[in-house]
Amino acid sequence: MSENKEKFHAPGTFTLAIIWFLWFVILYATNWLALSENWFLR
Amino acid sequence: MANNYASEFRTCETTGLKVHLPAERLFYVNAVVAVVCLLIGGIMAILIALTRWQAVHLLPADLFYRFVTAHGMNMLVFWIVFFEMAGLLFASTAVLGSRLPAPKFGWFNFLLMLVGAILTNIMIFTGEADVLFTSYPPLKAHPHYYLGIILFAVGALFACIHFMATLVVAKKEGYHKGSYPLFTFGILIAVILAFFTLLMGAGTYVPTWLWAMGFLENIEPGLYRLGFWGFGHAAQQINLAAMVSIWYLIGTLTVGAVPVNEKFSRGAFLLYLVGINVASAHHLLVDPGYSASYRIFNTSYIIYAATIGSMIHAFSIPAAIETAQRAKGFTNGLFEWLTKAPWGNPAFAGMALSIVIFGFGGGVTGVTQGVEQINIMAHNTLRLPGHFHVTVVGGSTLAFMSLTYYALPLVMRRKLIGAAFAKYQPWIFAIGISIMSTGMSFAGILGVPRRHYDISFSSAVFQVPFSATATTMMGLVGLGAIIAFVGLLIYCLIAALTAFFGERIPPKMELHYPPHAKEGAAAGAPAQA
Amino acid sequence: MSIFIPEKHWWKPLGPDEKLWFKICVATGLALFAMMPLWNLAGKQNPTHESYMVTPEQFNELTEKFVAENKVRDEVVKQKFGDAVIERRIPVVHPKPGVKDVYLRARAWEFYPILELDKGREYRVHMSSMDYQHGFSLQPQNINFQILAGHDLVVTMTPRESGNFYIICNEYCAIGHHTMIGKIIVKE
Repeated sequence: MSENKEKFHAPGTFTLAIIWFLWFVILYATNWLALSENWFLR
Repeated sequence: MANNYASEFRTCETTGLKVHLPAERLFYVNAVVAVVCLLIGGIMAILIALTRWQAVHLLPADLFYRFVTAHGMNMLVFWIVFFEMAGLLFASTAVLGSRLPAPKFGWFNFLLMLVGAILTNIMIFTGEADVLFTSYPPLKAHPHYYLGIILFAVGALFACIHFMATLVVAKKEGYHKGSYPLFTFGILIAVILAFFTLLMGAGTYVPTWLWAMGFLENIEPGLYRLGFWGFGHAAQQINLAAMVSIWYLIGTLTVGAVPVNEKFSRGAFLLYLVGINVASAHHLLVDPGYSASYRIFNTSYIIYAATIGSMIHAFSIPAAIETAQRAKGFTNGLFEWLTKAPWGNPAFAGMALSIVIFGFGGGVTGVTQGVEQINIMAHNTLRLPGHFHVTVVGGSTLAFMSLTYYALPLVMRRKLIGAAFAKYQPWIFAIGISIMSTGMSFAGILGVPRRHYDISFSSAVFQVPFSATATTMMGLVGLGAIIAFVGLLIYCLIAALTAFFGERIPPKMELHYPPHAKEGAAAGAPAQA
Repeated sequence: MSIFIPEKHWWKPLGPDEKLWFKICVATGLALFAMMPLWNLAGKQNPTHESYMVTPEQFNELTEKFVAENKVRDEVVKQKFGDAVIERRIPVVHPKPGVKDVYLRARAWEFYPILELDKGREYRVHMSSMDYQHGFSLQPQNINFQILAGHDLVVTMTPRESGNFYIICNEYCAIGHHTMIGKIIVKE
């Protein structure tokens, strides 16, 4: 672990939060991709 | 001043909290009625799920829609709000060590809510109100259906006023000094959100009631939707604030977690206050009549203020638990604090599962489907029930259930009956709900509509070929619902048996799972003066 | 402790992990917020439709006129009522060249008429309800809009695939809700 990590008082939680964040980004991006293939709507 | 009421208090042996007995009795009845509503809603839920599972297709069409109405009302309104009323009483009296200023007023509110709930349920089950939870005009129910909801909402509004009055009394009579504890602060935010919600509810249901009685000619459907969701969606934000407060509370009760930074957590609650209620526009994204800027501003919870709030809580609650666990010596690696957590304690397991389900399921789907454009692919499909069953059921309801496992021994002073089952109950319920919501979400992505009796369209002019995957997903919904229903039954049984037949806990007796709050009671004890 | 009174001075600086997480939160919020206006400018799928007030009678007239002028044939369909099977004729409408405005009437429990559209051509689809609230849910495209009585919702739509598409009503509209279904045919 880097020195920066040692100063964290909740490194485990931070790791979990980043995992959550990646999951959200994947889900969000997938939805936009699916939308972009739909019919043109205005 | 407080001395006049000294005989009405008892001191909780576990937490050192002073409990006002009239408030405790009111807490008791609210919680019991809440569990009864949960049970009614749960029975409706399993019947609906087994109908939507096309291979089983249990109910006839009219009963299906009637039971969907009953399910929505009993779960989303009656169970949740009755439980929250109990939560309000706990947060304002026990946590602050205060007396309840007007117990009779409290009973009056409770009876108003009870009469309203019973009236509405009678109307639904006698077939006078097959209008579903939303009762979109021109669908018209019996006037008493709306009257029941109005009575319930007025009772809840009075209870919120009573909560505010308790805070005033607590300060004025010296029960409480200094800042509010974080739990009370969070519940206070929920109550402020509730004022907005209930006023929107009155503004929607009163004209609709007048219309149902024939005093008004017409209810504009678009306007009704705007008002209804100002009530219906905002009501869920009360649950959110209450649920997050309960997460903090259970963190404290189970592992002695201290909020890592009060400023951080309280700021996040304030972000809820600022941004969350405008999210009712999520329901109006593909409605006629709204401009793009209206939709973008409102559905984004005002530039995602509330989302930032939730993300802060999502960090700060586990961080509080991690810090508390590390202080106990679980410092190896990144995750020893988590693996060595008290997973055998149903309250802890329930809270942890609730956070995971809400965060990984409810939050991300809500923020995604609430995007102005993505909502085109989600509106009124099963993706929506897929979303709110992981927020309101996997999140709020599971958190409320977890709290019950503390409320029973602490507030009701009864020894838990079936503690061995309680250990597994959160897991069963969580797994069931997760399977069910996953099924719903994927079925919705494949286009399956919500609130629909027959997706094989056997009596329609065209038969839509839904893919085999969609049908399988509906089977998954049924399967998940069965598992979750088992979890719900175990919960209701434990709660009811303990509340009525549980062995009384004598003073000084240790609970069956170790409470960790004792040191805290000594250190930061509420004002005893 | 979340149930006990915090110490007097609880306004303290954030730790390093909280600071970093807060930055991520704010950046996420801004990015999510930016997506919606950006897609309105650059994206092709936006619900920024027009809408007008219209009475059911007016909309009914518009629909009947549109059907009379552009009808190409009737489609005979069968519907089960308990044990009985009845035959119904629903007009199929193919907008003539130059006709951009297309009308779709929702009523308990039918979508009227059947639309026959050309792939890649832009249409202004008008939708309104004669009675209850209805839902326009085009499958398998999964395009969903809300149809209300008194509102003429105009969605400018360009079909990108050919084939048969179905419109499911996905807003509860009383007991026959699950029999309400319409059809759009897209030709090459």
